[in-house]
Amino acid sequence: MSLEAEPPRGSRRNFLTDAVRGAGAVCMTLQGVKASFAQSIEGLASTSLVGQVDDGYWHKIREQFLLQEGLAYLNNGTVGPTPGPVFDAMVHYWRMMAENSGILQGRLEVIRRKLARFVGVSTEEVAIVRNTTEGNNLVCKGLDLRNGDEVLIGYLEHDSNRQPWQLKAKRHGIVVKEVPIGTPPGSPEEILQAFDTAITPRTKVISLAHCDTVTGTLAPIKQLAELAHTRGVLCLVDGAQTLGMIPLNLRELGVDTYSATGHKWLTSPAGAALLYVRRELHDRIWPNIVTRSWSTYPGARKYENLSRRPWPAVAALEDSIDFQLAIGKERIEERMRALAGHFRQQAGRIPGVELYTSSDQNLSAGMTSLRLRNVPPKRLREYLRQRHDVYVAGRTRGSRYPADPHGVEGIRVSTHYYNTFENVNRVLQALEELSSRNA
Amino acid sequence: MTNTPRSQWSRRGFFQNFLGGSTAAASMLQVRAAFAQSIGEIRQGAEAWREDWHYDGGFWEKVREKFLLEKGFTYMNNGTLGPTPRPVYEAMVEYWRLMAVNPHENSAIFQNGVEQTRAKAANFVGAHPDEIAITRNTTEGNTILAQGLDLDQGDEILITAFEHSSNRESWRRQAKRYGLVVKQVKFPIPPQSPDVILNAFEDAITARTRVISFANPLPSTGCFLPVKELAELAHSKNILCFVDGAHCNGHIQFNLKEWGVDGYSSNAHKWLTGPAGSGIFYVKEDVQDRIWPNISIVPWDRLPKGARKYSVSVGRRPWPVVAALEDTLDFQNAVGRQRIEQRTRGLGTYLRRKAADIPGVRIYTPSDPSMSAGITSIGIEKVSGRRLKEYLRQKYDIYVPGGSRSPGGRVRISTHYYNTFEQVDLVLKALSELSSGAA
Repeated sequence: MSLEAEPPRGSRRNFLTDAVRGAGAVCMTLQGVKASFAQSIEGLASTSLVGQVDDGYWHKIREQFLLQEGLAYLNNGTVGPTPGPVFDAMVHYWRMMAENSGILQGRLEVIRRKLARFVGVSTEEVAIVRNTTEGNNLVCKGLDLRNGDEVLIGYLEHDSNRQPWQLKAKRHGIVVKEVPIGTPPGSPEEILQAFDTAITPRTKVISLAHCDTVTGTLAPIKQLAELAHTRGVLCLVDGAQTLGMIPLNLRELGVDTYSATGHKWLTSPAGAALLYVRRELHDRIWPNIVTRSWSTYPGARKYENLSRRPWPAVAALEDSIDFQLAIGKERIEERMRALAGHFRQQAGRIPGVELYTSSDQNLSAGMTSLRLRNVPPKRLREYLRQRHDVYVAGRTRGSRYPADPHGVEGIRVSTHYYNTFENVNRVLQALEELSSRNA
Repeated sequence: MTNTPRSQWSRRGFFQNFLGGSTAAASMLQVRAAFAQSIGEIRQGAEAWREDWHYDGGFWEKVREKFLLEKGFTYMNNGTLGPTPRPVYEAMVEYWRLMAVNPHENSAIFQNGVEQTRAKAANFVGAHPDEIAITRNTTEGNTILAQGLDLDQGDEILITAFEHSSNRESWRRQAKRYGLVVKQVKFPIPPQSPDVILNAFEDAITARTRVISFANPLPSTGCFLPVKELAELAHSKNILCFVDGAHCNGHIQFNLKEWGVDGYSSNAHKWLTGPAGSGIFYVKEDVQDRIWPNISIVPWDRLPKGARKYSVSVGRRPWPVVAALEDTLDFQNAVGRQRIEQRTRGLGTYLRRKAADIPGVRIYTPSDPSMSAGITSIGIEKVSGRRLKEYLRQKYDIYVPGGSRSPGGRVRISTHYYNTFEQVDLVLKALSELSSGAA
């Protein structure tokens, strides 16, 4: 548990410190922090290099992170690492709170506007909540459903989009049905077909992950939203794994709600998340936590009446968005897909490797789930950690998803833009080693 | 400057020295050790302290130096948000750094520390650890109690007419959605005696009353209610008794078992002076079966033991903030809860006694020591609350909340242990100047 490794040193400039050099114990103003932050990310966009190599531009980007030297952190799907400039800004915010509080709340509307633009919706439709789980629960609890009403979710939903519905079923008598999705599915149409078949006259809601947490499969959300709406059904989406991973335009997707945390692919500190609620639904979804005049708050603001919160973590969401925008959404996606594509292609050639993630770009993005025949997931994960300094997520059959019919087990490898081909190659090497040993 | 360690200012002071000036992320054990040493000084000073608060041997000055509050600034708004002391702030910054360095494995360190924090929090409020959940804030606690209880249409809830909106709106939202009736109990401000309050509740109880829920102390006037007697009254009629303790933790010494209440919501960021983002939430053991959790991620039929079910499901949270709750409790305990209460009362009593002698000043906080402590609600006839607030801020660099435009409008003055008698004297001076027309 000790962490004696050095943080990144060398070429990366300590921008905030430069900008406020000598400031010492004196608190910066909010404008001062923002100016320093802007200066620190200035250089990130000034290149046209693309995502195929580790050095040059992407090396510079990686140096912005505080990740332990040598560690190949491939678990962005659970929690992302906060980059240095965002970390520094947030530390200043906490300092401001200790010296004289109250400035950061005034920033909320700026953050809301930025977040709304980032996902292509109107400011009035965005609430900033704690995390995806809070968003999912809010929508689930906030809908008035009757005894016998049906809700369709995917087989491999994260518990935060499964258990709220199960609790509602227990407490209010709704019926939750789980729709099978292949691991991997053969095509987007296959997923669409499965939901189409499952809809009955009692179906009121389809709720599923845009990118599922177990296999990294992308669902055809736009077509599902269309299907839902033609049948008079709501389409609610858990976007925990997509915000900051792929460019999003929620208006184009046509979904009714979208919950997505900042702490995964947006690499924001934990504590702030997007909840999008389409304007037309504001009257149908009750707020969960309330204080003040919740009934008169305009738009989706009534959903974030959460009282005192860790404002520095919320304020850092804005910086996290700016950090990504400085690099560029398209560039991030390209890099992420280049790493993931390379990994899937090479891993698929290793004897004994079984991929749960499709190589079709319409069905996958930055997460790859696989197992190695005859090697228990725990062993594979420990081997990676101990021999190759690689950290990935692991999954043991049935440990968390009792309804999973396919028995998906193994490891989940997240490849985000700050990762490298060298990181990915270490995983491939480990798979080769274990595979040949078991051959 | 290219080799400047990042965030060098944040490493200044005690922690940097203790950690040998290293720029590497410290291990959790190192951070805790540095923290323990940094508050050791307070413990030593505390031994020399005497109960006579007019002479403290420099003890409180030493305690005050542990805070980061702006020099010359008199912060008397602890009732809204307390300032985080430096040792807690520095520990938390190191926790955030651990998250940025190795997000998932280091997050587990914090998550594994929750039971220790729970035990400390339980001890602090006088409850069993199985009755404690670590929530986000008071409002979240109030929400769990209001929404978690299954009530029937027409059931009545009694609150006071002086609640914070968090304990009023949580119930009003339930009332609107499920047809409950919320009644607000009124009594004169300041009430003449605890009996006045007790009688007002007794008169308001009907055969349909299921819950009485009130703040202790009341947020606007700092008036303490006869909580033990109210709980007894409620229980004698088979009614549940919930307390909003937003202003209680870290303000006075208390014991929930002695109070005998059924639920208690609170935060760490006011009188406990922790960073915003955590709260202590209590549900009495024999009531837990009747109160559902608000947010779900763990299956409802496999929830952990006791009150853990109320916070186990919140999804990813800002763990550094949660971990800092333990440091916050340690800090308070090092200063000493008895000393803190005496100091807070000493300052508050001094303010009220002296202010009562100033012509035109109206005090809305009871003078009875069983009904008041560190919060004083005060106004001046013929002077608007806004004028009073601004005069304090501009002429004497004193910050207090409140201040309506109407003559006699009140401000709320919080006097906590890090405030000084000199600061109170400045308030008194300002009151005299304004009431006499000299200002």
